[in-house]
Amino acid sequence: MRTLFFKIVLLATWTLAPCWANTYVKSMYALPITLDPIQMNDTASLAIGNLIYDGLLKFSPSLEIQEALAESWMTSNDGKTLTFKLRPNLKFHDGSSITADDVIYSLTRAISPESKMRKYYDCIEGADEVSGKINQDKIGIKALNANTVVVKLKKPFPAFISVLAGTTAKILPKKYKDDKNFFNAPIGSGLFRYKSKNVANKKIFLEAFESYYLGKSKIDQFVLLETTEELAIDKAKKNEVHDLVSWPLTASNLVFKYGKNVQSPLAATWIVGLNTKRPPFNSLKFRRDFKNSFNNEEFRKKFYPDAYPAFGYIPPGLPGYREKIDDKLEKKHNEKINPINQQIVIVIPQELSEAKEIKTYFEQSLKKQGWNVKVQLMAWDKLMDGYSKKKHQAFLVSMNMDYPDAEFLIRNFESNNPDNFSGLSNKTLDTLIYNSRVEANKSKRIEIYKNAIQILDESSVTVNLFHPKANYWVSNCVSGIKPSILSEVYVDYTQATIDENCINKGRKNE
Amino acid sequence: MKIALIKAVRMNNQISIFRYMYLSQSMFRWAISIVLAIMISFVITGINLYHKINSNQKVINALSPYIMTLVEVNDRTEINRVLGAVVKNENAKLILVKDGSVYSSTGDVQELDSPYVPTKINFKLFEGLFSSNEIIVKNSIRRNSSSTESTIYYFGPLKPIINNTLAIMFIVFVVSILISFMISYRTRQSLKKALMPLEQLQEEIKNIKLNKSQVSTPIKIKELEEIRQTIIETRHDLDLANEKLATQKAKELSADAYKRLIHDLHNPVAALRQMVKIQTMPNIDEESKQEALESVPEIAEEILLQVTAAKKNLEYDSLALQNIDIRNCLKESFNQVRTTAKSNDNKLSLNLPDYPVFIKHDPTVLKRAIVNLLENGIEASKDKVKLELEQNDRYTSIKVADDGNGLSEDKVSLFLQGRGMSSKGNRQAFGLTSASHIARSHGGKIIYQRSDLGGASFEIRLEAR
Repeated sequence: MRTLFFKIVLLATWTLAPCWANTYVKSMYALPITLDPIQMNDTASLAIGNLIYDGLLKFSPSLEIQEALAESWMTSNDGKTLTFKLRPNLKFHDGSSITADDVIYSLTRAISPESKMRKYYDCIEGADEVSGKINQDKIGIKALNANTVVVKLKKPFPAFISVLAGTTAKILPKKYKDDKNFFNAPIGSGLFRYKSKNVANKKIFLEAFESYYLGKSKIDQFVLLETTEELAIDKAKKNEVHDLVSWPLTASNLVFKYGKNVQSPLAATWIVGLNTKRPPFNSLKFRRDFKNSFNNEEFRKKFYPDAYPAFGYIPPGLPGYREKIDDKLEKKHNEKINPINQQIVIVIPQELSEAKEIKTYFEQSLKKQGWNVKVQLMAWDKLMDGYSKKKHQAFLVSMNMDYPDAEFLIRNFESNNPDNFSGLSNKTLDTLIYNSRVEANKSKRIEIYKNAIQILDESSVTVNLFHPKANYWVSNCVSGIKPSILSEVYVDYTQATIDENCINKGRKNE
Repeated sequence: MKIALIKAVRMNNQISIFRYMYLSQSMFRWAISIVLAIMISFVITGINLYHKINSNQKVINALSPYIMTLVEVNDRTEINRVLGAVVKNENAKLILVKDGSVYSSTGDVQELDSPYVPTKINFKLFEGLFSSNEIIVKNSIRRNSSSTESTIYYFGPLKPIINNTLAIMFIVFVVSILISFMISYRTRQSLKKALMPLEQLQEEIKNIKLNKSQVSTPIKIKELEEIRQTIIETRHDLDLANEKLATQKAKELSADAYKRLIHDLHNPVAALRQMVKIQTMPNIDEESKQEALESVPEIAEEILLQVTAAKKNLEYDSLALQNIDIRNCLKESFNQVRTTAKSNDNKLSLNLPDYPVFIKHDPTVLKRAIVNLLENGIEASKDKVKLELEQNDRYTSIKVADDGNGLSEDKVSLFLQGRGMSSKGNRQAFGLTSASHIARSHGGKIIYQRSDLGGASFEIRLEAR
């Protein structure tokens, strides 16, 4: 699962980034938690991962699957064998060549026990047998030659190609497999090479990779800067920060007077997750009543007016998206709400720019419905820790996607999924999710999704608040940035340029 | 160009037939090439446009049912992929508009979910909508059971078609111009070859003028052969006419000569008759009779001289008049006399204009007259004889002047009539008579004056026409 949220309230003294020639500064709510692709579960990590690593495949901005390190690929008639041919003369950042062995090593890591991404790769032949030391012979990832890799699946998984185009399927150099410090200064083959990290100033420095297979970036140095939203906006106004892509801004934000608004739909959904393992939400009736007590449209219009209304869990543009309220559910929602006195704690990220206002809104609006709700503002890392340990009763999160398939979001409710934040256990749903993964016929798969989503809605494990729309602030001196429907993680910087003269002119005018 | 041609004609400039052909064809050559280029490029563009629009329409019509299904299940990702695959490697764009908003686009992701702003359409052709830079075809897709209305728009770029049209136009223009020049070149070559006999005809016409005979070769080109035949006939007719004219002239001259002879003999014959009559007259004394008898041989001699001169003059009557430079005739006469007279070179002088003097004359006959006058002048002169040529608007005059004693006008008159005796012998009188006759046969006359050198001056005056 992808979770966001930001606004790390850091009022620490701010040291201005040095004015490098052709330096691009991207502000982030947090620096990456990890630089290991198989450990990345937050957008900050995934975003930098996409800059320094490359996979076999990639998504185009409109989510078409395209060749990346792979020059071509082929799927067998039964859908169980995928063959990838690498581009010639591919290089890692250290100048060494990328070979089939590196691909095998990297994909095998993804199915290793320590991989948090294992759930996306467990369809690979032999993945179930991986525990402890990996026996490569039993795993269905083989090299035909130095440039050709074959991946065999246990069963056809139509979305696997999308998984390989996502942020987790990154190729690492095998020769560093025993280097425990590798991810302190990782070597990839992406658009930028990792250069250094300044812990004090909360910066990571990247530099353009001259042997990038699509050509060297026109940005010489790429700086990731951790800051608060307030400070980020202030710096954006001064052209000291050139990119606020990581921040969920509304189009009405005044910062857009100082830059461009690169808009795009997003395949994401904001929810209040309800933990079925924590009373009173172990009761379907209470979950449903609690869910029906939310006026999500009022919330959207108040805090995120340019987002899309949410009539269901699945965001627009994906099979399973609901364009209006389901009549059957509506009837149930209209049933009388029976709130209980037990205090319910909703955890929300304190980094949100209007976290306090949201807290007040939730508490007051739900109190009117008779609920005893306490909203707790929590730091992002603590929230995520409680999330993964399923400690929270209810929590506000944004569900982002790694690949554009409803299965990605639905899978979060599979009984045996470690990321099943709701703790929901529904055998019918499990069967549907399993069937959806192995059903090659798209029409049938969509039908399965509909049924699964119907179960989810009836289970009332999510209060669907809205589907966000991207409003990416970028400097007027920046061009060539291509947003992605999937998420801000996939924003394409390949063609990005920054006009240094424009930056300097802006500074002089201040 | 025709303007250049008109200008050349107006300026009265002579131009070659080839230049004339080039100029007269120039305007048509360019005009035809331009019209041809425009017509062919427009026809090809029209066909291309029709097929392009038809093909694009078929594509979106074929896509529509599947796209509709994907719209119904909200599978925008798949729609993006499908539309992207359709226009992959093409500079075209597909947009799916759902309920007034862009649901899918092969263009920028930023267009998605924004209101669709229709492109300004300039005109419609073959079901295609033409904006300033795109050809748009569209297809509305709506299921009866659905309230959702979607439309697929196919935006094809107009620029390549315009570029193709211009390229075709340019190529056709260049090719047609080249063909035109090639045809023109070939025509010129053929014409040049065809007109080569013109030189032959021109030569033949010149020879008619110069009265030269020439072997005429038949010409293969019908029109020119007809001209050649006409020239031959004309030449033949001219020969006949000349012969006829010569005969007529000879008759006239003979008649004139006889008339003059009769006239000239009238007095001597009458005198002879009187002398003879005197011999038989009773009341005439013997001395007178003797004197009359003695004069009979003289009178007979005079009659014989008259008859001989008349005979000689008749021999010259058939003139071959040529419109040539008369100075040559004077030079030849001058040189002949200077050679034959063996006189002091300084005695003779020749004064000619430094420009050619064209006048119809028979150089052989006229030279005879000038030689006669010059010989008479040398005999009569003391020291100088001058031959000079003058021309004015009305006549051309050839003057022979000497510094001798000169002649009385009565005697000259007699000599010019072929009568009387010169003091230096019969030959001189005969020369003057002959010269007078030749001058008259040229339509002119001889005028006697006192010379500015002190002696006689004989002027042969030939009328300008």
